[in-house]
Amino acid sequence: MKKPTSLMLLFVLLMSTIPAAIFADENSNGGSGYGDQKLLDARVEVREETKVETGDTRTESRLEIKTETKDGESEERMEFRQRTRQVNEEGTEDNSDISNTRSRISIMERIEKLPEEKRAKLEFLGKIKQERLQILDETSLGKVANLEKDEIIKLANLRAERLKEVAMLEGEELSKLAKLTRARQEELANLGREEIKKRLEETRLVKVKTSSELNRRDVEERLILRAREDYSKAEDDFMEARQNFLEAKERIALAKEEGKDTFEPAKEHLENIVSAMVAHLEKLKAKIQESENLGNEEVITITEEIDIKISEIKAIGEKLDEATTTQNLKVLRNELVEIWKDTKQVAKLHAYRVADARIEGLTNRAKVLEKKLEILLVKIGEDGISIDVEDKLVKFSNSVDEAAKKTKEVKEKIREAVELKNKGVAENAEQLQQLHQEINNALREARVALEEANNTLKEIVVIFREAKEDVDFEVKEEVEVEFEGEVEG
Amino acid sequence: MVKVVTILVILLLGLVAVSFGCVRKESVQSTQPELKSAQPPSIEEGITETNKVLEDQHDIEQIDEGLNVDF
Repeated sequence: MKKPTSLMLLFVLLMSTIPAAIFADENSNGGSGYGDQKLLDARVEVREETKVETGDTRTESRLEIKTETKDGESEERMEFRQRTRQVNEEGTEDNSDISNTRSRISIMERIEKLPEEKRAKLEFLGKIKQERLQILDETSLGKVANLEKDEIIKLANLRAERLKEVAMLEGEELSKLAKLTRARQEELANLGREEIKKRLEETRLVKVKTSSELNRRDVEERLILRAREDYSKAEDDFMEARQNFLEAKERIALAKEEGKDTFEPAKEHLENIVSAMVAHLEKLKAKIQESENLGNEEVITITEEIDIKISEIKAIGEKLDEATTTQNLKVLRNELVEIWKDTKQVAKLHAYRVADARIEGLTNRAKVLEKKLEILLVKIGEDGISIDVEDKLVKFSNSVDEAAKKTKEVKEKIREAVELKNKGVAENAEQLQQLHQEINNALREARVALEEANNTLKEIVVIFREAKEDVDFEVKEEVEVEFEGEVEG
Repeated sequence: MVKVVTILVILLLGLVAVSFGCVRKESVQSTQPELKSAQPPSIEEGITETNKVLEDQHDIEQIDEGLNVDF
């Protein structure tokens, strides 16, 4: 009886360790990794090494934290290395700031002194980001700790001396700066404090759940679908008309070769040219109707202008029906050429407006995306998964910013072109052509920047998926983004 | 007899603890699929659409060529 009892007791003892093992595993996976419970009541050994070389002005610090729990079962080591060599704005190595910088011990002490909520945010950053904050004094550190986790992570990427400077801004100003994209933060951080304040005052932030809230106008889904159908039909009409006028052109050449009358093929040719012109304008009109990033008034004005051009061209089409001689056709052809000279400049200008508006919509979307990816990064971090996409996010942000700057440039040029057009297309043809070329180039650069942004975004998605296979990219939280436009509703 | 009952009770408690641990672990894992499904973010479609608007400028060149005919 004793033997089975002993075996049974041994079995029960073994079984009782299983739940403990399961919970221990869960804790290690689910914890943030920065504030583990088992560190409580633990014995902590701190070792610090500091090396200062005044000759080459290099300062090195090393910190080792050894933690041993009460039962001695687990041991954790945290190591910190600090290299304080920095290059100042003149390009020379400057260690004056750094030699005054608090050591790692100091930053930890300063973090320790913060209230629980703030401390938790900074502890979440992990040691690398914490290192970056060591340049800050207690007041600045407190202000930074007031920000959201994703904002602190982003701000910590600024160069030490710039971070120190911006952290001296007032709480609200700092909060505004922290909400800007990486590219905009970098741009502003390189300015003097007064200039930063001025720029921040001019900066407008808006809260949105989705980027569509930044659209200049709301277009009903059914109207978008109808515009797409109209576009598709106009595209088919254009292709058919083009095919027909090319064939008619060949017949004209053949008739001329054979010394025959060219009236019939010439009439057919001009009728199809008229159809092609109208179809091109209808295509443009459909794109304008679909655009959510052109203002309502802008859409009405442009549509009216295009409708007038369509009527003028169609009027020539009607005259073609009545033409009886080749001479009549020649006169009408010349009328078409004249009308087309104006029309094509107007059509080009409006097409650029549509393209620019679309790029603006995309940059708005990308800005919201950047913000949402930051939030996602924090969420995943809170699940204990660390993802390093900072460099990619900086690249993404810079590309989007480049595209946004180009659209701004395009808008200026479009404004100039519209003024010239209103003064008279024929009188300002040369200047308009020059402006159109510049607009086209700027739009091309904006598209290239956006394509780069999209490629980087794909890489970011891959990194997220590698870290967390079933990552949900849908972030429902409201985000604040910089917005310069007006939403007309 | 008392010993046997005690052992059985301890055994039962052990099993309950094991089951509880397993159920918790399972519930943590089972929430994961709920996070699935969202499409990865993209701005590709918008770029294609923009390109389309600008490509339509070729229509103008074709009409220009068409107009350049002598009859």
